[in-house]
Amino acid sequence: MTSTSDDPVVMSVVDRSIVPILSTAHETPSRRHGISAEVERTHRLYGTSLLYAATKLQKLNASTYATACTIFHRFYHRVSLTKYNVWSVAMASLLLATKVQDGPQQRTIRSIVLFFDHLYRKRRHLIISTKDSSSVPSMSKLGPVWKEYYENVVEMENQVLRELGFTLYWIPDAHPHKFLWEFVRILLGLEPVPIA
Amino acid sequence: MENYRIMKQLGQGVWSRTYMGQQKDTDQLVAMKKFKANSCDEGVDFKALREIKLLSYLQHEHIIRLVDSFATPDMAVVLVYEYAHTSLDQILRNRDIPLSSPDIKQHIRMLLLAMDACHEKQILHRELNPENMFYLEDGTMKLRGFDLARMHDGKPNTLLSPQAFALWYKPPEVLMRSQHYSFSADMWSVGCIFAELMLRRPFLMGQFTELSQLDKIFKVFGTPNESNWPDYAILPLAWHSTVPVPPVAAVSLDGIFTAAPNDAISLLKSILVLDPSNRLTASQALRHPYFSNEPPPTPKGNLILSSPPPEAN
Repeated sequence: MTSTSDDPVVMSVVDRSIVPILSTAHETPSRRHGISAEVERTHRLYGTSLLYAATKLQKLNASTYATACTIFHRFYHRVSLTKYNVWSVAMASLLLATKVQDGPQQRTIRSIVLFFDHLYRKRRHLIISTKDSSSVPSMSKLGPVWKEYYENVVEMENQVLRELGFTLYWIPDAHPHKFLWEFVRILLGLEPVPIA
Repeated sequence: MENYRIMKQLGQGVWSRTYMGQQKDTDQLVAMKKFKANSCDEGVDFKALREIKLLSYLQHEHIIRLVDSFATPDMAVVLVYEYAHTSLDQILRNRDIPLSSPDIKQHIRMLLLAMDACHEKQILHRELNPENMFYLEDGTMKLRGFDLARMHDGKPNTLLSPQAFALWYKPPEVLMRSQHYSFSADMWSVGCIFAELMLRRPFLMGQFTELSQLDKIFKVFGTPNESNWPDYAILPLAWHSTVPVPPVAAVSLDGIFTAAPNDAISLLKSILVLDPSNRLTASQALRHPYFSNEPPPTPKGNLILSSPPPEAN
């Protein structure tokens, strides 16, 4: 589930699970813009890996991650990768996921921006990677960097909502991942983990 | 926005304004709720998103139907509902509308059906009051006001905010600052509305503060003790309070609802119970003999929803 873009096994698993759900899987907007299936898959997995890293950093729960991924993938079934990059869409997906999830999963735009900025520098090897969320630096609210990030997120959020036609409700609150995990463990002959 | 014609403003809330509008293509009347844009620089209002999510999930005869939702260019979210003509609050206040006991039976039955649908889908409404019960022209009650509603899986370790509910309809465990209330909390509000239908005035009218509301409740139902509410002592307010409350005995509801039939009082007594674990659930309440006994509930088409026009002499 923790998709890393260089692992072929994970890639094929993810791909097979998406295809039967959406009938137009071979006809995504990106494909029509001349992006090969391979490249699109890599970009999408990169986006979800960003979401994974961000949910981990922000200590969000797994179902928020799953909701964010669902929003993310649905968006790219409507809009081409040439139009919006995965970074912006991942940020907006995560913001929307925290908003539709019940319970203490709320995050401010500011914290999402700070964490994604941190991830950006980490991915570009501009800083030494760290798992500690307390090391995420702050950012001035007056500077141009903050302004650009902020406007981008808000604009993107609106765009995602418009493209999905507000169909966020279709995403259930309870995701089957935990159940599947239990199932796989039993198939492997391992002891079931007691559910916390 | 271009598909609708706004006719007039209906009301204003803290986060939103409601308008009456008309769909341009079909001339259908709609109610439009516009969430204020960028109320706290956090982009699209999450309350709007949750309401869309819940209402689309809850499709039921007695729950308001979401017709459409869209965002305006200035990033305000607009929800479009079917248009309801009146609310129970307006009916109760209008003294020209008679409320017979079969009418009351139909009103409370529709509310319980809506509640049962919510609870079956594990949704807590948390803001039940007569202002949120709307009526279509044919007399069908439609529940709205899902601003504070949320999914609740019934797991005891989920924390819920004690800030929900309107004061007069707030259940005692929420007034005692419990964060672990459940579907029975909604049922307390149902009981209060039932009592209000019979009295034609709010049953438990606390004055502004939660303590005075608790006081009102205890004056009728008696102060909580080991026998009528075994778990009350662990509630935050009981746990922290140092002021001893002089014990008060419960008053008999028969003395308050003198005009009500016995089966109605029996139902009310099993819904308005201090201990949340002893309250009837919505589906249990619907099976109560009150609904099968004579007289049968008024057919909803015959309910009087607005005062008759003054007769021409």
